Amino acid sequence: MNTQISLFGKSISFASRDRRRGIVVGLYTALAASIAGWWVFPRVLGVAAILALLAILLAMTAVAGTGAEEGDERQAHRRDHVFFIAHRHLSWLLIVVLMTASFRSSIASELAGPVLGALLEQVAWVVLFAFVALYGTLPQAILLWTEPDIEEAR
Amino acid sequence: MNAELVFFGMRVSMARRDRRRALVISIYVALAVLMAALWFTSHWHGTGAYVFWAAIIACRLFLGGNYAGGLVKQFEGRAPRQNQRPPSLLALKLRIYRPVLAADESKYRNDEREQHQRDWAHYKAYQVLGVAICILWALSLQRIVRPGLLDGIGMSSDEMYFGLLLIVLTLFLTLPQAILLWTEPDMEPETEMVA
Repeated sequence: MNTQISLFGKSISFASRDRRRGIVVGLYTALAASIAGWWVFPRVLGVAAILALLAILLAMTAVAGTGAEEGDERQAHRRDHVFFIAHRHLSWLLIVVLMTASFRSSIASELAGPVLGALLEQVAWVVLFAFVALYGTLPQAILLWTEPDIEEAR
Repeated sequence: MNAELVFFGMRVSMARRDRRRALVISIYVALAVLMAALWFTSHWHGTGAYVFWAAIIACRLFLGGNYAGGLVKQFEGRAPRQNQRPPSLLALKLRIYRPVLAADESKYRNDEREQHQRDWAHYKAYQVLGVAICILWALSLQRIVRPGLLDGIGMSSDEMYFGLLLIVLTLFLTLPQAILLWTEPDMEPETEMVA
């Protein structure tokens, strides 16, 4: 994990856990806002939500890394463990994705009218989008959230 | 990881890696056959959940990991629930009643090495599943941007999306255990370890 990154020539420190947690909360708030915007204005803000996702992915990767970097044994164990935690949590969300896709294909076409059908289609989309976003960012977010202050660790 | 699989009362040694690999291949072949059969009978309309339940049963009986039972110890390492009621007659008749005592921690709790192996297997599975999820995402985008692009292959975009979702979910539930069973070297049989 990087303790500081350079952004437009300015160096920003991420050694403090409070600051990292603030970053995580801020990025996920931005993601939730972009998903909510997409929900309300699907045609206008669809591309904006995808761009927000890419920006958040880049920001998380810049601070926490991709997980493929070389590290010492402790770092490798930490990395593997956060991927384990992320996998366990996301399997529940994937079941929700499957259920919404199933509702959309069965209920929407046969029982529901066009309004409910469109709503189910949108729900399925938003849930899938949230799943993809979390799949790309959750291990890094857990790492940023749980690692202690770097100075204290030293 | 357990070196022995108890299947309907029969004890099968899984100490050798080639046996475990054969089991992994058999499970995935069986799941693929089930998916293909459901496709030809119903196009997964109303039957897609059967694949999910088949993966759960495979975990419960053979792979382990998510539940007590199977070769891989439960990932969370929780103590088994101690039920005061007598076991059901069906479980006894099918010889699938195998209680694990809470006091016998080595049967359900992962030691440090096993925890590292478990985490590493999830890390590897996460990479593979990431590729599958990228394909899923691309397919869902294609359904909106160009709905008729895949019309010529005899499967609608919706059906392909749902089928891929089933595959991803099945891999999500089974891949870490499969990686562990595939990569762990030959073990000594449990009887020899006791001796």
